[in-house]
Amino acid sequence: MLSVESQTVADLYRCSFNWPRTYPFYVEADGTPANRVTEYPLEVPVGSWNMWNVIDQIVGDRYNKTRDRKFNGILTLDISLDKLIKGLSTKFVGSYLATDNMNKQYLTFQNNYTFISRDPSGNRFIPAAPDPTKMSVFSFNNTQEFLDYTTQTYWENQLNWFLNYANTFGKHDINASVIFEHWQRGGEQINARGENPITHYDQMFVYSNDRDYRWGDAVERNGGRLSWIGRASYNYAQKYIGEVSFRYDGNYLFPEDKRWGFFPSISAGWRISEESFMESVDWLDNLKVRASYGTTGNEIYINNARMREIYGTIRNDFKINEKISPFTYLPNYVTGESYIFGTGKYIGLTQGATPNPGVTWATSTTYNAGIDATVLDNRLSGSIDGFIRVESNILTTRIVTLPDNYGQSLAPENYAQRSWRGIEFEGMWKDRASKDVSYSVYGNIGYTVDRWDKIDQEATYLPGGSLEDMSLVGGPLNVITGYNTLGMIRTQEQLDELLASGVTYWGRKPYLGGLYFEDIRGDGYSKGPDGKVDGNDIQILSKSAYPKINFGFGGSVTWKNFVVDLHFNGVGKYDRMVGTSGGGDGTHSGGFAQYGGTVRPYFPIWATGNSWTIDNPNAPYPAVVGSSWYESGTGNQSFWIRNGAYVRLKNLNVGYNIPKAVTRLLGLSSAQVFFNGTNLFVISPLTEFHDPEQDTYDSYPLMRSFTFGLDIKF
Amino acid sequence: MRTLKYILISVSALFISGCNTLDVENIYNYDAELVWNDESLVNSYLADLYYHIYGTQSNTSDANSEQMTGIYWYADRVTITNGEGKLWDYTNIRKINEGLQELESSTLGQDFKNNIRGQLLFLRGYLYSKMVFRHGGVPYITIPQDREADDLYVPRNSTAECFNLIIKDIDEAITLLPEYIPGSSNDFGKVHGAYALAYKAIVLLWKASPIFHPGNPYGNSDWQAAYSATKEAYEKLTGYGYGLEPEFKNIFLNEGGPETVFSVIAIYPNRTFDYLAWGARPGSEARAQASCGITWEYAKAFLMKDGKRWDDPSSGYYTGPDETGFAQHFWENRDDRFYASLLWNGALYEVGGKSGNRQYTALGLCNTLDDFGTNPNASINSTNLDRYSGIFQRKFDDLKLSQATSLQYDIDWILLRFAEVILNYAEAASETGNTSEAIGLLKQIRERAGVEAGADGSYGIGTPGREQLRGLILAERNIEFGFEGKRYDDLRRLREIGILHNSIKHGLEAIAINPDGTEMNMGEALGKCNAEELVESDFRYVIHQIPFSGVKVNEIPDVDRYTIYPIQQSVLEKNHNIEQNSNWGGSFNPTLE
Repeated sequence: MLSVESQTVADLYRCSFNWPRTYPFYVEADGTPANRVTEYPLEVPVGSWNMWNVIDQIVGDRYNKTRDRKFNGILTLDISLDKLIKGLSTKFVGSYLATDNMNKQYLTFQNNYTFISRDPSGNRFIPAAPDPTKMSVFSFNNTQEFLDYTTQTYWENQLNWFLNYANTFGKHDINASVIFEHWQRGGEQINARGENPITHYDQMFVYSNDRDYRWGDAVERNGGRLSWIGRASYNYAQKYIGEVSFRYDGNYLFPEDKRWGFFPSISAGWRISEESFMESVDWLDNLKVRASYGTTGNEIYINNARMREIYGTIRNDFKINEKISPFTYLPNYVTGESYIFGTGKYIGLTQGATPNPGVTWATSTTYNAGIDATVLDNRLSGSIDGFIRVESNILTTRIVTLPDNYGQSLAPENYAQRSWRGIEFEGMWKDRASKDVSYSVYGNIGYTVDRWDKIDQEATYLPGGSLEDMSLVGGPLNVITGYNTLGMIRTQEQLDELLASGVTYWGRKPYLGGLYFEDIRGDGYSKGPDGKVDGNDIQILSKSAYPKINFGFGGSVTWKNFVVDLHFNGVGKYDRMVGTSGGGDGTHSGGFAQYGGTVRPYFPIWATGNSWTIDNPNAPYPAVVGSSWYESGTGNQSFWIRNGAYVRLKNLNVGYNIPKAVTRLLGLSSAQVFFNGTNLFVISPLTEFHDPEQDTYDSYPLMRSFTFGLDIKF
Repeated sequence: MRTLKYILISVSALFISGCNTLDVENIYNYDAELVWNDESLVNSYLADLYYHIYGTQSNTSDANSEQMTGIYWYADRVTITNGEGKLWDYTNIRKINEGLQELESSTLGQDFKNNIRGQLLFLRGYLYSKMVFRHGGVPYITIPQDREADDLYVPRNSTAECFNLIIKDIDEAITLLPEYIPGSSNDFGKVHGAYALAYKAIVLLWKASPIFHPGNPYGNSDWQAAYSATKEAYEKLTGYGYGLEPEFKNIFLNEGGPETVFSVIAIYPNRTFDYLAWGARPGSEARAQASCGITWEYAKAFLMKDGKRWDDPSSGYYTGPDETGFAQHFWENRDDRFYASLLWNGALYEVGGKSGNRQYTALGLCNTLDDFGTNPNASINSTNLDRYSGIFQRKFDDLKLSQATSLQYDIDWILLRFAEVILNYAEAASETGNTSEAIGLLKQIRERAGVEAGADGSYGIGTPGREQLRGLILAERNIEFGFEGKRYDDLRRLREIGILHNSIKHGLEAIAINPDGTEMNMGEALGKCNAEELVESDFRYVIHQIPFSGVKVNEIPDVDRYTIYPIQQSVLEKNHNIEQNSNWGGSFNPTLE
């Protein structure tokens, strides 16, 4: 439901960005357009449904606000037990976290005047005087104006008991601890709502006290965890370093026999530069190699809603890191849909999700190895790291091909596996060029790939199946799916050729200025073209839907009293599907819809003169036809895929330190005049549409900022 | 040492408190053990089932027929892969079967259990009938299958077996359900004996119909059973007090009235049907542009006041064969159903308390959310050329609601009304040679619709032969049940969907004119429209083919394939014992022949 809640500054931006510039938001009583808020907001007569007034949305008498509070009390008790055993100590830490949250929504409808042309036979954009009998009420899709409070009062407490031992015997350092952890949570969420007010005021007493218009709801929660943690580390002369540890975790989400999980870890390091045989290598200041293996338990749930939707489109819809609901291991009945008999409303009741008596921990295992080095008098330093992380036994939806007549979905089970592999470099050079000039440069780059190792898929996705090229296993979580655009029909010859072949696109014949697509499958996803491009022809367009490379570099120069700092960052190996948040075909955000009909296509891209016309056959974008089809540029398709890589000057700082002689006169210990600029420029193929870090074509843009300042210390 | 003691005490306290940390109370859901031994919980279980089986209703389902705008049947609308036309609702079947099983061991009173069993059996028969009407025979599963113990790879029952099992379920339900539930009852909205009887008649009508007897559509013996069942339903329901609502326009507004055999109840604020706001009304009076454009074809289909078609020269209201000529006064001398169903340019539409309000659709003269046409003098373009027709839906409208409150719409949606009981009976009577009985029933419908009896007292029916009468009944159903989602199924049941093949649709543009027929100045016309001064006859009407762009012609290339739908590919893949229908390249004969 669209309520005030879902309206943000970004929505204001999106709407005003796409809004026709030919109608005023407000007029005076006589119809003169006003550039201020007046009593007469206009409903703009464009669009597919009753339009609201974008400005009134923000300045109008309605709001949605939230107050968050957090109180965290921690009590620590440290006790040395040296008297008993030297190096032994114990510690208690008790913490109580109280979080409360109050959301208040005050919604009034918008009353807008219908736009009326002053002179419908002449310039129709000049408004007539607003007519109080021609009003349009925008209700934000609510049946009533309302006042709504939702409050959450949650608490968590955690008690930890530590038994620590630390001692040094000559060159041997020993550290060991045992920790017991106890965690509990609870709390309530309460909602109250009043509707049908007798006047507009944001207090409950003006709202009808007829019980039909007063509404309340409450939900409670509880939960608990217990853990035993053990850790022991050993260090010989800062040369050999080793640590072993474990966690033994119990969780209320799992049934009694599946509650506890054991998760060990081990790591080792060797500082080669400390070895005596390295003493002669004087260019080397520090060299360390290290390796580790670690496991942890996670309560991860991936809701795999991969499905074949009607009309044959396929969508990957994984909900990563969903919360596991309590008691999924027991059969139960939950609240269903309610229904009216007679005049009474009956609560509905239905079977809960199919229980899984085996629900338990997922395990995350990380292997890491790295080298740290510092050379040339500490001028050059760097490190290199490689890692593999495997998340196994993830609780995930099962897709077993049981006949539909079974009538029930299977419970999710702990079986899926994902992994990440990555490598990271970091380096820095620091030096002094002369007495007055010192400088440093640095850079870092990381490359990470993720992939599915194990996940259920329907038979058609398995090797030999008609959709095997869309199989997830071995590929990353995020892929771009859609249709492969072969090009645009720019000439009559091209069109004639396609028409002669009889090919149709979603049942439509090709047309001049339209896009055309690759036909790879027939009905039922059967392999091979069938002369009909439709949902069956979906494919994976890119497996780099997430940047695989992240990097940053920069430097700093100091010359006498001047300081300059620069920082660049960027990403690489990244494909973006450009598109809009306010449109598309409902399931995808790729591409640009053409709604607005023949009056004015909603998105400004269609009005840039870059669309195909008879006179402009080489235009970059397809023809404006006023219909949102794949052929006209709507929906996920390779036509809109661009390289998402970019490099950005993220931050530039120039400072001048005012000489001591001056500051002393003013009684200051130091003073600096500075200029700071962020997001100053970016190089990217995506700037054809928007900033590469901007979400969609019509979402809120990234801000550039300039700051001039004086930094004074007394 | 004292410290140590304190530590030991605290640590032990910690462990003890930790013992039940992991055993939290289940505050999240119902205990499965209790549900089937508590009447309220069982009723709640049923409520959820009703919602999933009957809950969502729409007045746009007739977009697939000639009634509404939009070219629904673009090429390859139905494929084996996609979901179009498919119904394979074993989720609800399982819920029903689980309910029937749990009921067996329930300790609740026998009367209560019988009533619940009756409801569940009817719902099962109903759901299976919906599936069989689309696909022919389906696996008729009557137990909640066990994943380990039962063979899940069940083949399809034959269409004949399915019909027998559906009738068996409904027949048993009839013995367990109350005879009928009146609109005043607290149980109104639940299935009851009268509804079950009337629905059984529908099942048998489908069983006899050409869809399942393509080789012998009207000579097969199933018609006799359909005749007995429709007659029994008509007679018993009449005995219970069901009958026609006196005025057609009140059928839906008189919620729970004598014509309502079964309906889905809405009561604001507990339940609303938002389709009024999201589609039925002109955009300016609702929340969104209407999704219910009504075609010129459908406007023409309504009868003239003497029960004849507009182009029937024998009609007393005949004004010639010219369609454009008729369009200039099409709102004159029609039967009541025309006025209660349609909303056209210039019509009086006193919505939301606006007395004297008229609805306009003329480009440049009305709200841009309502306009339709291409009049160049309007100096604007309509955004609705692919969506609208210049005629909107008036049926079901609750005029009390204004634009602002249109989301509060809560008129019950009638799923089965007595007029259908009558027309089902008329159809079966006609096909079994009981012609005069059939004509008598048709007259009842026409009389209520305000059709003039005429000098021969036949309400324009005359003395039709069997085939003519068949056509008259089908046409009567089309106008009687407009937008009630029955038209396409009627065409499918009678294997008449071929009439939609290559069909196109039209809309009606209104242009304001002066008394001498010249076009009125836009400024002047706008002033008059704003004052609600222009009426229908102050416009001239232009017929346009719609939609203006995209696919413009319906394609139903194969009557066989679009009459009985295929089993979806994904169903076949998961159960190798399910055979595809023979009309879709498989080996299963979905008919009764």
